[in-house]
Amino acid sequence: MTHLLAATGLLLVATLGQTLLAPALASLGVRPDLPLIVVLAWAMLRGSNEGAAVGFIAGILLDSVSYTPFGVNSALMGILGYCVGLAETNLYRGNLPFFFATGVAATLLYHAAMFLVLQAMGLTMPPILAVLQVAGPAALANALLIAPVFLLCRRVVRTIAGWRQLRL
Amino acid sequence: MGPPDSPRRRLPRWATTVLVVVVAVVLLLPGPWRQAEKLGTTVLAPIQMGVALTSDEVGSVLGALPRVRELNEQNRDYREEISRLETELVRLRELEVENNDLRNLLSLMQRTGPGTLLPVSVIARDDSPYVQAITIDRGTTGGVHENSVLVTHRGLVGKVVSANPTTAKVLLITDLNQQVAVRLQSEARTTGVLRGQAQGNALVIEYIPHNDAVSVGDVVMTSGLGEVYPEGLVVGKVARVQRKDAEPFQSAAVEPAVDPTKLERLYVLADE
Repeated sequence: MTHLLAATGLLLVATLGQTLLAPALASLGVRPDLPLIVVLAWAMLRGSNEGAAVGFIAGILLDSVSYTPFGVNSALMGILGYCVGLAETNLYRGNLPFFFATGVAATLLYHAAMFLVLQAMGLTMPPILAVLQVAGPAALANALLIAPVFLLCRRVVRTIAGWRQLRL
Repeated sequence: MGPPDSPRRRLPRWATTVLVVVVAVVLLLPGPWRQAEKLGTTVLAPIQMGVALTSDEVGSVLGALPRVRELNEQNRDYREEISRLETELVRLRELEVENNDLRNLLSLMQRTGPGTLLPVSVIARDDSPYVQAITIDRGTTGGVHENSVLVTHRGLVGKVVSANPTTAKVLLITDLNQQVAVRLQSEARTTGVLRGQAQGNALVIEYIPHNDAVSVGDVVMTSGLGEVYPEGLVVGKVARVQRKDAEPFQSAAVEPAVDPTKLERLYVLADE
């Protein structure tokens, strides 16, 4: 529970940053998905169950500030968090390229799924080329940011572990 | 032996005096030799000027030395005064902008008819790259409801798509899923449907009858059809006309009156 609360705190900061800074960054041609990065990093650190839970919380936060239909982000991010957590259990063991590959693949999947779901829900979407123009740079930006965010999450988890030892 | 050297003959002293007087008298008389005067002036004038300037400067510096402290204080006072006046100038410019805004709002209120304008601020922008939406700091308790219209003094911004007690989400007119019934302020009074585009802030009016004359620069206004947007709100100006002979309709690219990336002094049109 403590871990989830800590992750929620990180997600709140990431979501605020996303809504306040992302439009400014978008004008520079880069639009990182900060909450998604936190979800991926947390899932890699803590596994599929917490990955899914943190993804769901991130999605709820994003859905609450976004025009997109409520539940879309929470479903997509929950699934992504779960899948990345599974990959962590089976693939990730200090494998640095995995960070970047996960960042790129998860971002592209997220944008592709968002595109399909929104279109299926009747929203007019831009052409797929325009989506790729957004998703491509975002994937690279997320891949670059995922390692430092992972280190931040690890520090948070270790701090919590330290508190628990003190309590014992 | 040769003859001894003859002693050098010297002119008498009076001869020199006479010569000088004669030359002076000659110079006094009109004649070409008067040009010599100019020669003297030409050679001496720059030197005179330089000396005069230097002496003035030196005099000024020497005169100021005892007043250095006083001048320093005066200088500081002047700097403070300039700073104060610059601040005042900025304030006056802001007041001028605000004054213009209020005048425009007054005109806007006259156009939109009865109702009030509720001032609101943007507190967040939609994080999704596929949606052009913002969140404003007023909700149902503040008189904002679904389908309330958001404007600035420049023109239409968007409509409220969902309202909570304290905040509301607004879909901008530049969003791909937004449609506004508009009319061109031209002789033909052409009507059409305005839509946002996938990228950038461009807008497009579709389904303009082929025979209607549409020109670059025509002002685009809401037509009042559709029952969401009141009639007469400025939306933008026609930037480009796309017309193909084979198609029954033409379309026009519109430059929005309000830049969605620079939203300030926003108002919600509310019922009285």
